[in-house]
Amino acid sequence: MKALITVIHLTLLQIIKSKIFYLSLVLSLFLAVAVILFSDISLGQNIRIIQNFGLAGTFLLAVLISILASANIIGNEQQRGNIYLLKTKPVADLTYITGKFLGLTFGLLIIYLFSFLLVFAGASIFYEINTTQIIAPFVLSFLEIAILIAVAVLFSSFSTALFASILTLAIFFLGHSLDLIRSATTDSGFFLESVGQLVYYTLPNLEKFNLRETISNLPNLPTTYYWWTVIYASAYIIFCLCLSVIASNKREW
Amino acid sequence: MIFLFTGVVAQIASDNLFNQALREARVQQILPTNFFDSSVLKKINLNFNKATADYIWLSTIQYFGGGNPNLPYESLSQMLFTVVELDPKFEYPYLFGGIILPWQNEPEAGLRLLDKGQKHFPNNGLLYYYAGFIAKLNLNDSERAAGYFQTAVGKKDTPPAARLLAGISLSSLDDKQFAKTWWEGVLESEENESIKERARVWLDYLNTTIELEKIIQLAQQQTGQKISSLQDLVELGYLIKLPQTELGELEYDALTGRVDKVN
Repeated sequence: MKALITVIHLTLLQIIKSKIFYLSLVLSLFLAVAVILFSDISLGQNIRIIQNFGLAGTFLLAVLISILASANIIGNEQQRGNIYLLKTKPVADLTYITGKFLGLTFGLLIIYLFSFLLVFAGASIFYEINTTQIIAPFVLSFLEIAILIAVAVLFSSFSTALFASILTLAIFFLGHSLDLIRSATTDSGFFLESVGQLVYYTLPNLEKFNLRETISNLPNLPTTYYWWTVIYASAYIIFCLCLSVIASNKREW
Repeated sequence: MIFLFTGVVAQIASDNLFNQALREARVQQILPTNFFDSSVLKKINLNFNKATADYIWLSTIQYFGGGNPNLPYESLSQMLFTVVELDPKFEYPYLFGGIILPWQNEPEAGLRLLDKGQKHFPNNGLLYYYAGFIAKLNLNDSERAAGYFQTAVGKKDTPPAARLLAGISLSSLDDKQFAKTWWEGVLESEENESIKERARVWLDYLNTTIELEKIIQLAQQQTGQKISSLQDLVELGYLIKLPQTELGELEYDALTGRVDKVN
């Protein structure tokens, strides 16, 4: 437990001291200003523009930073050789991987929360923002980011930082296109249809966390939906972390 | 810094030259219209439909607001349809298109957009109200206009004048009795005095024209003569003088058998 907390703490410090962290703060500020300025030229649709652009912008910024940070922080440790020093310590792979994941997740939560508050708190000075329509999408979007961090950690455990970033980005695109893939392979023969179904259920279905599009059309989503989404995210994260541990064990250091 | 400054100056110069060429060629802003195909956008935007719709909406405002008002805005209807296809619950583009597209000589597109909006916002009376105007003024379709205005009455945001406009549209249709019933309802239930006054005027007009049409039929049956104008009724003694209404002089169209006010 002590080792886990140490790894989490050190990972958090790595994120806070990294250039990506300061870049994200600056980008958040630009995003907040841009969203408010764009809303001014929307012919009276200010609140709508702030809500949609704010949610989408902060989310995409957090996704980009999570992919870059996750792949680079673990990749850099391997490149600099710090990982070899760690391997000599009595720190299990599971502890290391879990600690890295949790540290990255907390760090990204700080960044995402900061940009989210900057955009919406700034906008609420000028307009009345409906918080019920932004809180739930924020929470589910964060779960999606947590999944992407877990995927990035998995890919980082057996490949370079650049390759891990590219693969995680590909998973992000695929995760939002699974409905398209499944519908494209439906009625295309048994083999293709099976592949489509396999891909649909194996890859992380990130659309499940996309409440940005549906919250206004489905304001009364039952609480059980949110619980099932949390269970899905947790299961997938644990699955990725387990695969990371196996990959790390098999690797020859 | 010198190179950056040079780049900025070059960009300003090229933008000015390009815009000047557009003005001289009398061409509206060049837009990649294929980009505004909603079916394509939905496939590539990773389900960021609302944000994409908002982006296209902002582009639409810049296109319309920043363009040359003396030239047609050829991409406007496509952009508006793309916005509402990406986010059907975005209300304002339906209303915007309903007002602007008829002015751009695209009344049918405006009507299609409003019809689309009515499916998603069935309680927004303005969508029917604007549709009624397009049907009446641009398409000269009184029947369709009457339908829209009648539906608009009583809905949210509908101006009180909708009742008047429904009645006026109904009054130009074949079924005058129905129009008369409409005006009687307005007179009975309307609280706005000016609308009540207009209803009274139109009811009086309809009563007069209905009576005149009955007198013409009677005269034709009794005399065996074809009545060609209201003056004939005066000459035959069925009327003392040519009737007048507050809406103006009346005339008889022998082809349709209708008595209406002179346009």
